[in-house]
Amino acid sequence: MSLFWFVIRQLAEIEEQMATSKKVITREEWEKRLNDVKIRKEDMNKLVMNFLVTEGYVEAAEKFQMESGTEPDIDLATITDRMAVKKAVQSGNVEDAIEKVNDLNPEILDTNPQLFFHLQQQRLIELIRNGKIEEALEFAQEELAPRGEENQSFLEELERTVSLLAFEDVSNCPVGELLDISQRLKTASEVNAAILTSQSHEKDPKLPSLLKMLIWAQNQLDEKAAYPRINDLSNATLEDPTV
Amino acid sequence: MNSSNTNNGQSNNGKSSRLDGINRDLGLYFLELSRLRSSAAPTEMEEDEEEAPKELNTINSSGGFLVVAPDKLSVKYTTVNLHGHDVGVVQANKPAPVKRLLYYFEIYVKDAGAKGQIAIGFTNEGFKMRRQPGWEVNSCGYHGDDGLLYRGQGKGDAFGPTYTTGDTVGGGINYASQEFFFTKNGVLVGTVCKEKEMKGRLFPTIAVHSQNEEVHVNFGQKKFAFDLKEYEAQERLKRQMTIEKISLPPNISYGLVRSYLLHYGYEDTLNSFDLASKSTIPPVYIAQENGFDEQDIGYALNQRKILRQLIRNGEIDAAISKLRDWYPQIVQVGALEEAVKYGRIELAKFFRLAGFDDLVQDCVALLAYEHPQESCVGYLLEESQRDLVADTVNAMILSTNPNTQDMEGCLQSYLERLLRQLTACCLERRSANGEQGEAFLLRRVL
Repeated sequence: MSLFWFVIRQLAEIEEQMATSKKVITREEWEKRLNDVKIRKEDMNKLVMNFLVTEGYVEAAEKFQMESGTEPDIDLATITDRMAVKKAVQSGNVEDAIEKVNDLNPEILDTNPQLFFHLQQQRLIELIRNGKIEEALEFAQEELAPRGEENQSFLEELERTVSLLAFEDVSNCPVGELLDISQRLKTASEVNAAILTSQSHEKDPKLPSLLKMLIWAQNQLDEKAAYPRINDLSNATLEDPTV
Repeated sequence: MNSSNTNNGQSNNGKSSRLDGINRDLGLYFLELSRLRSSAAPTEMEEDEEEAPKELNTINSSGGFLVVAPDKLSVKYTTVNLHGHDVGVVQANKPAPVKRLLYYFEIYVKDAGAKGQIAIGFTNEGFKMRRQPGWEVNSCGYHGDDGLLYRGQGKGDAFGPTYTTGDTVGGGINYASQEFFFTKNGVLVGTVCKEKEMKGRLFPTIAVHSQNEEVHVNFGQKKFAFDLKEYEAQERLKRQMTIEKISLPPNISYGLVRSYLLHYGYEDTLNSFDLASKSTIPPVYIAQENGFDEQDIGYALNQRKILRQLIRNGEIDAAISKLRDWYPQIVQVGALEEAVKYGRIELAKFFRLAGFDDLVQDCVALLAYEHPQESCVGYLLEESQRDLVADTVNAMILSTNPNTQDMEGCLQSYLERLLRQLTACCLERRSANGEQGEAFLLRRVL
């Protein structure tokens, strides 16, 4: 009787395997398909140039233009200006950054109230960080409070920021993260994106999206086939299908 | 060409015995690959070639019940209908093309006739041409008289509004989401899942069923009432947002750009890039800790850069002379005849492609001539080809690195390999879906 049940179980397992069986593509077959793909050098160069330009590597973009003959998709002079703004915010010189943005294009801050608020908020944070308490309070009252009245989320942000002043030991308080450098980077990134958008340029480089697309495409294909995958993007090595 | 167990450029598959110590076979191999790389991709061409419906099929329609106008773009129901098997059905002359994201067409109801029993939908090749689309298996139809959607059976599901004289109704297929979608007067009515049974070639189909019904069809020869481009953009955006949520290892893009610059020998760019990366906030650390192995592709960086510059500037004499100094094993003067013969016979056999031998022969000759510009292969020195030659020389030098493990790695940067994998996965997925949907095209992204 136990042999009977054993056989039944075996049949059930086989049936399950057959129902979920996927097409298997051998390494040899897959490598042949990879070789059939046409990728043009010019397109890869454009991808790299797009990365350099969007991320703000001006000199590298200039050199790449000379060494490869690839035209940048944006005027390189505007990158220098944009990077100056970004750097100013990253170093905590928010007033300087605001001045530079307005020099570049006064409409950016006019049409971006949220960005402007975040820049002002950063100014407040820097004043608090430097111990200029009275100045901070004055600034909050004059510049930020009116914004807070117009907008509920601005008000909440303002309250969070001001609450920094209530704590003796800021490193341990619940809003301590506002003093962290990551907050500056967040604001810097926001300003960078706004400038790029105002120049009709996409704010993100295309390369990371393509890498994500690769991960997604492999995950999708996993449902239908077993094939050599690339699991480590940094060295692009194929791993044999596990079947 | 075998990619394993190579030793300083000599392949071990028997051919090397004839060449002893010269990398000509490598040169030819890389040149051929380079040339193939620079030609148009087959997927680009096939998407233009797929035929789309242009008019109605007058041969296959239920001729007794309807009349198709001479321009084959409108139909009229001629008699009085008596039962459910005298529907006037007509399909498009071609099935909906599949190698794209969406397909769509529209009808305009000129006259809803006695009962407004009009339908728009999709049917397969063997459809019974006397029944409304949707009433039989392997068909679907959105009916104007009751606003229901019929999917392979006589009973329909609630779907949308009815439609009548003066309305423009559209029907489409979304290959990415595997759905049908319908519109009325420029507004999306709804979508339904395209069941598995409805695989295979689907024909845009329209039907009329009561006296004096008249319908005009638009296969794209006129502007659609529905903003198809906007819908397509929205669908792409939806997918894009799903993909954006995927997380990447930190600094992977930096690392790949860096190894790309290293691979092709863009030394000046690389130096600027490294300098700038150090002063970003926070600094980007992309050396060994992120798994990038620089040893092999940093090989001969300066020499490769110099050679690329010379070739791009057209200073071929200088380039060849430097190449002879640094890598004598790559260049062989005076061995022209043998190289040409080898190229024609051996590689023609190997690659089985017609017409390539001329280019290969010429490239080899270029390296073998004392004064290349004056030779008949001087055309290669034209600007557009210079990058091709520079890339090839670059690959050949990389292959002389004793640490090199595979030949193809010398020609492809990591970035290129990733892009190839992406393309191949998308193609295979499309193939598993019955060839429906778009292929991945880098140019489209750019």
